[in-house]
Amino acid sequence: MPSIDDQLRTRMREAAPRPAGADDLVEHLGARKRRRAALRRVSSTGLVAIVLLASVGTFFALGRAFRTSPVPAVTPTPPIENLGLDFAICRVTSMPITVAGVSGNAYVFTRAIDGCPQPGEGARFLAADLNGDGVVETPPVKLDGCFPPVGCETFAAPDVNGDGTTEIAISNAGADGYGVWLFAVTSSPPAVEPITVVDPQRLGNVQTGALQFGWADVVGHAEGARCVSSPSGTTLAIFGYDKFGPRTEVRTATLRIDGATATVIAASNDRMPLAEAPVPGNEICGAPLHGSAASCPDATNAK
Amino acid sequence: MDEVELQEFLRERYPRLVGAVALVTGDAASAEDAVQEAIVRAWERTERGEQIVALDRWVAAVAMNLSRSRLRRLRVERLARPMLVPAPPVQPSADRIDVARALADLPRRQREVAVLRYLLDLSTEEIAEQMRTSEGTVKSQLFRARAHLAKALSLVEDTDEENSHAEYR
Repeated sequence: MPSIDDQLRTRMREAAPRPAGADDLVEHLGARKRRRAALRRVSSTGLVAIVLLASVGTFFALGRAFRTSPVPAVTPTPPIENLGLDFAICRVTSMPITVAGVSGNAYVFTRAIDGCPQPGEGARFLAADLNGDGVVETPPVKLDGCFPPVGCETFAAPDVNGDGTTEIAISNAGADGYGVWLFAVTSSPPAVEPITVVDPQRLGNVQTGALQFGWADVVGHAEGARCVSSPSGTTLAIFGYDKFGPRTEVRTATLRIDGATATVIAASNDRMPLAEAPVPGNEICGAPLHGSAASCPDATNAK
Repeated sequence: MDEVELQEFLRERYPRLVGAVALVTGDAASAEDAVQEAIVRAWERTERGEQIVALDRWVAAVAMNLSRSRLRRLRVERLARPMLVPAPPVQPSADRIDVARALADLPRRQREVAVLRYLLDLSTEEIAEQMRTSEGTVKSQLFRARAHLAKALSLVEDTDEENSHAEYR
């Protein structure tokens, strides 16, 4: 008698619905591919038209507002129910990404239940549209540690290891700066996953586990990250230091990132004049900061 | 992926992929649509020079993800409705109904694990990779799914120890 596994295999094969035989399936798929391409062109043209119309509208609206009319009341944005998800979403922030040379977008959004939760409240997710068609292909990843008043946002899309695929940086605004997490994105299978720090040589200066670092430049201290390129590849250096005198000690951990693993390959504590210490600005590894962080280092202005 | 490769893929893998997604979603029409959409995306990617390792697993993963989207399914059905030609009535066999019903009683992830294992012949390691979870989780879900399906379909375990080696171990 066959085993239960073999019986299940047989029964499932017999029970699986079969698609109707279609001799012209290749043609049908070809037509579908052409429709997708046309739709993308139409979407791009439509987006340009919308931006132009919105710009013209804003220009005239501002003109009127500055002449005589009172400021119109702001209407709350209704929840956006797209991206191909099967639940309503709101508070969407996005930024362009590139995965293996293909342009797409990363989205951070809140699950809308009976309306949109306040910023920093409710369940917040990250997902990626890998081909720019407006539908996310990766399963949404729930973001923890998003707190009011700003909550988690898309932060930047740097290519921190120079492999041609951007990593996704997500931030949460704190009192005087940002906490930043880094995620790896893959297209086969479509997924985003948190990058994890391992420190096999126990070099220190960075916590193991989910890769996170601060992004701040305020009275008393500064912290951030930058890419360092060398003939052996690009690495990510996370740094932090106090700002209490003309000299400081910069603590640095250097990470080599491969997929979703960041391996600590060096750590140092270097005394130097404060003026020579690295500073976090409004870009990371050449990628601009998005959302409220675009005005960095004025993080306290983030709303 | 050139046209010859595509035709071969459609001939060899397409029916089973559609069957797998249909068994998970319980909806053959939207399963076929999801698999076709996934194949078109794979086709576009290969034309852009991207290499897709294990095409059938990639298509299965994308199609399963797409089928999760109820909104997308509704939109596609609305668009496709005018183009649909009524299919000849087919009386599903009692066995097919039993299997579909037994699968429908399972939670989605257990259903997906069982179908990937028994219909698409994926290893527990491959299923874990596809579902972005650990192999241990896959094994425990497969254990539960197998127990439920065996009971619901009145399958009898072989008492011969050599043959009773369960694949979730």
